[in-house]
Amino acid sequence: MSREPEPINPSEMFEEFWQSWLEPEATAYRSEHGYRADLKGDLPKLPTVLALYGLILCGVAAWLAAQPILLFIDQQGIHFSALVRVLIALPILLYGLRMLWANLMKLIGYVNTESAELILLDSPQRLGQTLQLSYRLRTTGRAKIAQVRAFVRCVEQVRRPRRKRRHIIEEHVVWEQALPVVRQDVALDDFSVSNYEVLLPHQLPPSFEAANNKIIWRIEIEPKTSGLGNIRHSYRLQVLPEVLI
Amino acid sequence: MIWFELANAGEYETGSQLEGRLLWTPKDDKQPKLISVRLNWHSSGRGLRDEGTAQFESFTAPEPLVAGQTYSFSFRFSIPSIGPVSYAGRLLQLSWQLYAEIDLAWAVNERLSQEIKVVPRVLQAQALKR
Repeated sequence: MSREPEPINPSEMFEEFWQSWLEPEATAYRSEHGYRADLKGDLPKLPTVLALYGLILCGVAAWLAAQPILLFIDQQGIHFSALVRVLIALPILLYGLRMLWANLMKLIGYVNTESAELILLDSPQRLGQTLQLSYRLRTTGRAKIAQVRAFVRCVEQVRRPRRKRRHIIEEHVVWEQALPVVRQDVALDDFSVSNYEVLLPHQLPPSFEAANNKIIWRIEIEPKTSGLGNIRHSYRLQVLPEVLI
Repeated sequence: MIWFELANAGEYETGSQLEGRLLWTPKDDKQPKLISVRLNWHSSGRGLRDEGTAQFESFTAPEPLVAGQTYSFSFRFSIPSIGPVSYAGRLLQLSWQLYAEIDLAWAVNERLSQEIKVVPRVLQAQALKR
């Protein structure tokens, strides 16, 4: 189902940073069954200490963000009781905790993923072509796979200046489709194979990549596991400027 | 005065040929330093600008030059098979131009830009399977 784009909000952009750090996009290479992308294997070997420092920084940043607000209130000559001050800082602290929790869950999810791979029947893709893919996930056995949801998205991505020497990445979803499952086998608790098919509409733009502007085609896969973190895999498709009729 | 005459005006598929002529009627008999035609693409919209020159051709004017006479310079460019294609999105727009410049010594250069539309190449699925 295609949808109208939503406006970018800063917290999504911050989460986008985390996603790009923890979920790099894999590249596919030719195998006997098609084009195979090792989604788990392409994860960076993150030193755990560094990752945890990052998580703690989220919480500290949220606490620091609360301080100017409290300072401003003091400067206005308004003296609140300690309870009121805590109530003012609480939403920001809660947001920091939410970030900490979300990222911790992601980290646990990746640790519990034994292997994740995507097999494409054909690569690169063309507009008007039916994309056929298979996603295989094996967890360490501590997670039970309930459902695997997959999306294909065509996204405009631009880099624009923000203040001096700073740039931000802005994204706009041009087209999004939840992939209908052709066949799904959740044979064992820790192993799942999902097969998908989707037609890439011919009126959409093909992939484009320049220094500051991109049109990105992406497959995003979100397996739902019970209790052991959130896993999300992403793979960048290459769609040629060719239309199949 | 300068203008373009294109063999097949309209849309151009990626990987196709763009053939045409640059026509120039000089106001005086001053010899130009360089006559050039480029096929450029550029981005516009919310992001920082990206641009590229796909093809470039330069010409020398015949000597002596006669003011008021029209001179023709033929060119043939290949639209890159990898694109980009012309696109108008919300954050990003991609467009192609044919750009001509006549570099005149001690005078304002004559320039002309004409937008062209580049579309994805159409392939027959049957032919691809063979």
